[in-house]
Amino acid sequence: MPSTHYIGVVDLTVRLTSMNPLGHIDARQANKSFERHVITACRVAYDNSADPQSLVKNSIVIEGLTAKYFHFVEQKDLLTFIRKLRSLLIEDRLPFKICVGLGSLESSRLRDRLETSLADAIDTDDEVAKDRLLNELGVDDEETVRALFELYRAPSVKDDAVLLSAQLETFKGFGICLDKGLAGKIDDGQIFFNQLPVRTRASGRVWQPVEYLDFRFPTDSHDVVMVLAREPDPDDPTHSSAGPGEDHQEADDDSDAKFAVDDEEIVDMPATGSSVLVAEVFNLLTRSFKASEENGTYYTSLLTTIVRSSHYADMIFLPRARKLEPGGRRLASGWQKVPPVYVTLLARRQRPMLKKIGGFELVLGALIDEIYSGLTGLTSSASVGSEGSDAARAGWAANVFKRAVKDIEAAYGEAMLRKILASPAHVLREERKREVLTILSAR
Amino acid sequence: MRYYVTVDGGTENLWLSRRAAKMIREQAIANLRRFRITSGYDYVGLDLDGASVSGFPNLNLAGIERRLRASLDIKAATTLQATRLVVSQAPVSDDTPLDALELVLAVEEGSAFAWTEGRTNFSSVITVDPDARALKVNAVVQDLLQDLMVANSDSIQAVLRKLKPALVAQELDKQPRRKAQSEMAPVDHELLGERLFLGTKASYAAQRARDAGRRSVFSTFEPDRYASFSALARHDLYATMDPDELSGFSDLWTGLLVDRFAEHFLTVDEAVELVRTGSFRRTRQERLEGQGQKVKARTRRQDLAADDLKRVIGDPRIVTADGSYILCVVNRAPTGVAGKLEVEFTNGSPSKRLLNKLTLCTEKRYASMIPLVRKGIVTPIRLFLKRL
Repeated sequence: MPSTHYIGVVDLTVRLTSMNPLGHIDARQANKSFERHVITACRVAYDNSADPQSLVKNSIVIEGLTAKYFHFVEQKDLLTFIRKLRSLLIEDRLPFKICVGLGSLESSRLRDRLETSLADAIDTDDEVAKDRLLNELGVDDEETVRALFELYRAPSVKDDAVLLSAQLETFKGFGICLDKGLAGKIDDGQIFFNQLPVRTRASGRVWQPVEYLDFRFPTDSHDVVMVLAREPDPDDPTHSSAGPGEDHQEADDDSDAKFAVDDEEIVDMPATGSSVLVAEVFNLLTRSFKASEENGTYYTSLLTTIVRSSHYADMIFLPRARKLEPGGRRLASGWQKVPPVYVTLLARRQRPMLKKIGGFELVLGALIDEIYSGLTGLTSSASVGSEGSDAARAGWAANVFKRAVKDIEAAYGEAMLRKILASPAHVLREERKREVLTILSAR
Repeated sequence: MRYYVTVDGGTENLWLSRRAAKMIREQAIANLRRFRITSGYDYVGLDLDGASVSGFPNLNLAGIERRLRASLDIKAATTLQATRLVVSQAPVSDDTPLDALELVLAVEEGSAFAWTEGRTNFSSVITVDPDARALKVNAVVQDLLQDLMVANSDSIQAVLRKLKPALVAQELDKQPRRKAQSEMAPVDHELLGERLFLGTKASYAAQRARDAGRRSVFSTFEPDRYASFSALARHDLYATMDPDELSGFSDLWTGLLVDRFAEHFLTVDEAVELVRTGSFRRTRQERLEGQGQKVKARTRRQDLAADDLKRVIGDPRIVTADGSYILCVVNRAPTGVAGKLEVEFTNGSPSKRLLNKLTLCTEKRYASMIPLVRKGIVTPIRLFLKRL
C-alpha cells in the first residue's frame, strides 16, 4: 500500500455542530453549494495539474453523504484542490473543515471481504469461507447472500477513511487541518503550525492548544489600511490646519496619542482582498457567536490563519498627524498602514465579543509574532522547519513593535498578555516572549 | 450599471471578491457625498452586485455572458444588457456581435498600470501590474463606479437626452449608406448615442491628460471608448478623495460639457422643467465635518413655483454665456446665518426680501455657498444653461 498518497475529507461543519450562523444557512441550499464547490475545485485541480491523465486515473473524490473524501497521488494537486475549495466555501460563507492525512482509500472494507468469501465458498466450497459468511450474515447460500448485497447497496467507508473521520471529529476548528506527520513531507513555504484550543477533561476550564498544520492565504504585500485625517472645515476658525511643530521623526513618546483604530469614522479602508475576507469571516463569527458563545472557539484557527497571512512589514505608527504631501491630505495620528485584520481585531466594536472567545490568546499571540517577524524580516515562529533563534537585527522599528504590544495590552488587558506568554513556542518563540515581557515591565 | 463580474482565472483567489461590492460602494458614496457639497453635482447610486465566473480556458465575453445567465446570482437576464465591469486576471477576448453590449470595461493583469484602448467591443482595458495590485484594482473599480454614478445624475442626463439624438444624426449623415449591411443589423440609436458620447468623453479625457501633462496614477492613459474622469482626477491610491481630486473631478465634467456640447444645453423652460421634475438629493447638516451628509432618497422639488424658477434661471445678468450654473435652493428657515443668507440670496441688494429662497450662482460664486450647503441650509442643483 503506497503510503505517500494523500487522503482528505471535507465537511460542512454546520452539519456536525450547532455552529450554524444564526439565520444564515439554509441546509439544503448549503448542501447544493457545497457539492458545486467540490466539483469546481476538482475542475481547477484538473486544469492546473501537471498530468491530468494520471490525476483522473489515480485521484478520486468519493462517497459519503455528509462528507466528501478525496485521494490524491500528487501533492501539488492536493494543495490546489484544498486551497480552491477553501476559498470557494469562505466566499459562499459556509463554515467547513478539511482534514488531510497520509493513507489510501483503497484499503479493504467489509463488503469486499464478504464478496471474496462468497466467491471462495462457491468456487472451492471452502468451509472457512462459508463459516465466515454464516458468522457475519447468518446465511451462506449464494442466492440469499446476493439478495442481501442487493438490499444493502450503501456506499461504505474504508479503513483509512474511518481514521480520518475520527480526526475530523476531533478537529474543532474552521479551515484546513493537515496531519502533523506531514510536516517534513509537504514542501510548500505556505504551511505553518497552527494551534487549536480544546478543552479536555484533564485541563478542566482551561483551553489547551493542540498543534496541527495549516496553509496561509495568498498575501498581497500591499494589502494595508491607511488612515487619513478628517479635512478641516475651512470656515471653522478653531481648526487651524496642522500644528506648526510637525514632528516627522517617529519619536517614541508615551503621550496620549490617539488610538486611531477606535475612531472608526476615519478609517480609510480600501476593499482590498484581505479586508473583504476579514469582513466575511467576522460576519460569520458574529452570527455563530450569537447562536452559541462556545462557537467562537471554532474561529480561532481561521483567525490565526488570517493573522499569519497578512503583511506587517510596513506598519507605521504616527504620534501626531502629519501632512502626506504638500497641499494634500493629512495622515491621522495613531496607526498608519496596518493590515485590515489588525484594525479589526483591535476595533472597540469587536472587543467584547472577542474577549469571550476561548483560546483567543492564540490569535493575539500569533499577531504579536507576525508583527515582530514582519518588522525584523525574520521568519515567523510558526513556520515549519525553522527552529533557529532570532538573529541580530539592525535598525528595525522597535518602537512600532512596542506600540503594538502596548495597544494589544490596552485593548485586552494584562490577563490576556499573561495567557499569551504562556502559549506554545510555535505561537511565539521564547526570545520574543522575553521581548514582550521587557516592553510590559518597562514603565 | 447594475453589477460587476469577477472572473476567476483558476488560481486560488479572485482579485475582487464577489462580496467586495458593498464595501466599494460605501466608499464611493462617501466620496460622492462630499463631492455633492463641494461641486453641486448630484449622483445616482448604482445597484452593485458581483458574480464570480469560475475560470475556464480562453475566456471570452460570450462565454462569460452564458455563465452569468446560468448563474443564480443574476435574476433577470435583461439586466445583462446593462453596463458591466469584468475583473479578470487573464485577458478576455471579445467575440460578441457589435452593439450587443452597452459598456464593458475590463480590468486585467498586465506589466504596467495603464488605461488603454479597448479591443473590438470593449470600451476600455485597464491593466494592473503586480505591484500593489490589491490597492490598484480597488482604486480603479471605485473610480469607474464613482464616475458612472455622477454621470447618472439628472443634471447630466438632461443634457445627454438632448445631445445623443444630435450625435447620432451627425454620425449617420457622415456615412451616408456606405454600408448596405446596416440594413441587416438595425442601428440601435440609444446605444449608438451612448457610444458616441462616451467616445467624445474619452477623447476629451485623453486630451486633458496630454495638455496638462499631469501627474496621473496610470503610466499610460490612452482611453479609446471610455474614460473615467474620477480615475483621471486621482493622484494616489487612497480610497478617500482629497479636495484637489474632488475639484479636478468636477472640473473635468464641467469642462467636457461646456467645451464640447454647449449647443445642447438647456433653455430656461427646459431647466425649469428639470428642476421641478428631476429628483435631487436634499442636503442635510453634516454629521461629521468633511464626511458629507447621509441622505437616503432623492426628492422632487415640485413645491418650487415655475414662475419664480423662471425668473431666477432666466436672469440675464448671470447667465451670460452657455455654461454650467448652480441653482441654490434654501431648505429650511435659517437660524444664526440669516444675515449671510440674505446677502447671498438677494444679490447684495438688501432692500429686496429673500427672493423665494432661490438664487443662481456661477461656478465662482458657488464657493461662497459651500458653507451653507455644508450646514444643510441650501441644496445645490447643477444646471447647464444656454445663453439667453
